[in-house]
Amino acid sequence: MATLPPRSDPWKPKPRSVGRLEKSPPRQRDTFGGRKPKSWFPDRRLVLVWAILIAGGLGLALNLYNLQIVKAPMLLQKARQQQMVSLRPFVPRRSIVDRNGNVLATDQPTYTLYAHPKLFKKSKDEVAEQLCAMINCSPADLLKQFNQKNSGIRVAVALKEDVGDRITKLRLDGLELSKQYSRLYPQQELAADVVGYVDINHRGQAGVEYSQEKLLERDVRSVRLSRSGNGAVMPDYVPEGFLHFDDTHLQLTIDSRLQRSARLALKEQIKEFKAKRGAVIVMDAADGSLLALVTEPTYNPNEYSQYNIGLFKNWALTDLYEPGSTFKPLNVAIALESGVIQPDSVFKDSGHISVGGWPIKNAENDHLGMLSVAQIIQYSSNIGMVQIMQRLKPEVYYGWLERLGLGQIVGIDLPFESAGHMKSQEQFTSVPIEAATTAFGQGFSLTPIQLITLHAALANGGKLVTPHVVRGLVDSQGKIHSQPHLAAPRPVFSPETTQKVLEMMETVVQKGTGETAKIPGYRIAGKTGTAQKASAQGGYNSTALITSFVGILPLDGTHRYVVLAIVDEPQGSEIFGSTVAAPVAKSVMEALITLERIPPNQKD
Amino acid sequence: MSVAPQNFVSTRKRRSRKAAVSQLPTTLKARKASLKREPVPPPKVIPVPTRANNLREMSLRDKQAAPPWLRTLVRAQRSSSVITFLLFALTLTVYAWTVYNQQRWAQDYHKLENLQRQERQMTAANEVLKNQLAQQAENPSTGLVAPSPENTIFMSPAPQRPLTTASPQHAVPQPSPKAPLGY
Repeated sequence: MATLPPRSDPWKPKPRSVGRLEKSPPRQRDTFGGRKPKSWFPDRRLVLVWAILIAGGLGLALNLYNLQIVKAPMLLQKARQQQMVSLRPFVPRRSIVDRNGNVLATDQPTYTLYAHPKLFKKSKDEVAEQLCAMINCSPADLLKQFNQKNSGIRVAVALKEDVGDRITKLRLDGLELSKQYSRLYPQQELAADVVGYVDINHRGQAGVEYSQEKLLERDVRSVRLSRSGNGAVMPDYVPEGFLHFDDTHLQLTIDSRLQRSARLALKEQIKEFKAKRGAVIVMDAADGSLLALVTEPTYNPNEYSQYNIGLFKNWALTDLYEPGSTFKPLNVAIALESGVIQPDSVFKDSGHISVGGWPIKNAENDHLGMLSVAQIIQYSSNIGMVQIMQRLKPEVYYGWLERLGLGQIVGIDLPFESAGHMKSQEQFTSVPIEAATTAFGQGFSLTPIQLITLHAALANGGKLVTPHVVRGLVDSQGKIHSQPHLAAPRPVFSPETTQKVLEMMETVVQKGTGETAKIPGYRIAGKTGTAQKASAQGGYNSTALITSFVGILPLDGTHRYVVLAIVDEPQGSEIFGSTVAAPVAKSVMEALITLERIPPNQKD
Repeated sequence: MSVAPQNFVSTRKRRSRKAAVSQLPTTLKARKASLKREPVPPPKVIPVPTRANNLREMSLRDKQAAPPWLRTLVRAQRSSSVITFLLFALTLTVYAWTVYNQQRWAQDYHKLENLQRQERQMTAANEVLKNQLAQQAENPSTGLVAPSPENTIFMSPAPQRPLTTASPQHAVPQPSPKAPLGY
């Protein structure tokens, strides 16, 4: 190139000039091998082509600018809408299962169907007819609805998944299915008192659903994924662990079989005695886990809105009552532990006693005379109990009651637990009748759950355990992932004391007031209770009684269970803990024996 | 490349071309005049150098004289072509594989969703059924009774016996299979 003189662009050899050269006449040929410079300036066609190309290029650039800069945000959004799907994978609230893995609560997706008649492509008649074939409604009514509003008509709620699918397959325009989660309680009211329910916003409102909200809620991550043309989800932006959400569920210590038989027994007894309400609690004394917690009447959590709001609290945790005679074994344990009495101490029951000007008598005066401590328990002698506790200084007695946790909550993992009620120390120590009434279980109040916790201390060798219903988060293989932290058992009595008290309580079932709870072949400790209820006007209501029975079994083994049955305000002539509550406790204990495979030891 | 054709023009031609080139700066008219002035040689077909014969010529001529750097370049060009082709093929394969996998993932995800759904439905149906059966069993007319200690047999486990080795004398003879009697 360097050797050649400069050649300007228009002189560049064009292919067509080569071809022309061979045909062109001689005179047109020049020294450049046939290249014929037509014009020093670019010819018009070239300019035209150049101009078109440049204009085209400019146009493209302009469009590029328009698309990439001016319209970019809008287009980006549009593309995202089409390609990206905000996927909220079905992350349900954790299921709740009982100790055997029976599901007590689980999540189900449901649909709400909305109709927008202005978007219908088919006639309203047709749509109404097709829809009603799916969701069981009358086409005429639906048509009326369609004619009333133009859009946003809620046609049906809580549609099952397969119904939703069938509606989607109709491919009708103007219909909208919105997905929700609904909680299903397959066992209905069986464990409602423990499990609770969730409201329309999927928030727990009672029971474990309320108190264990943190354990039940899985963190729902909304994931944005891209979608291919046919709507299939693409794995491009799937975060790690997207598919591996945990398969854990919340396991309770409740045994639904025991719960069922307890409920059945309680229901029948309440019906028979026209009682106001009742409760049964079964506790494993070793660790405080509850095997059954039944209150009657109850509700079906699937249709909670149809029930009285007062049923949603578990009255075995929230309502205080005066335990009556069921507290006597604890008083005996206190007296034994403080050393003011011996198991063979004897007290005189004269039928009545006066403390600080107040007369005190027994419920029944069948067994008067000299009574041993065991007999005082066996015949439930109020006079004997008052004498036993009078040996203890009121300050020391009050200290013991505080040590047992009276007036405080027991710390169960269910919500809305109430603290018991106790008189102030001044009143207790200065007024002699206070200590005297406390001796036979009146004048203070506690919740049924607290009473059974105190009896569990007698059953397990003197330790106060924390009652609980939650076992922990368990995966599908049965491995426990997280367990609730429970307070360590607090020793209050010595094992020797509790063993003596249990032996005394055994006589109650063998030949005392608790004979109705006797099960042949089993050593059972028990105590009946028939207490007057405090009336709203102060003092005691003469007709309203609360009957209870607490049973501890088996006395042979070291692993013991405590059963508490309470029937509130039963009607009739023979209203005692032995006639009303003890039969309930007996059938619950029978079920417990077979379910927990407790072998008989005593040979009758 | 514009240099190459020169190699094939005869020296005479080159000279005349040189003359023509020297006239370049003159005006068009002057050029036309010079065309008329010069005796026009008879039309002659000039072999237009094509790329093929150009290269052949070169390779013939430069067989011995090709400089090593050129050879290196040629080799580099050839190998890079091969690499390019391979890379291209690889890219296509990877792309196809990606798309295929995405598709498969989507299918499997759909399958997983279906299975999860079936699991949910089965669990729910199973539990509802369980509850129904239990409720029916509560009805005394079904004739079912709740388990109680009276209708339960408790057996204490037998004490563990020491392991004994089986002697061949006491081996139970295998009963011969019964032959069919009929037919």
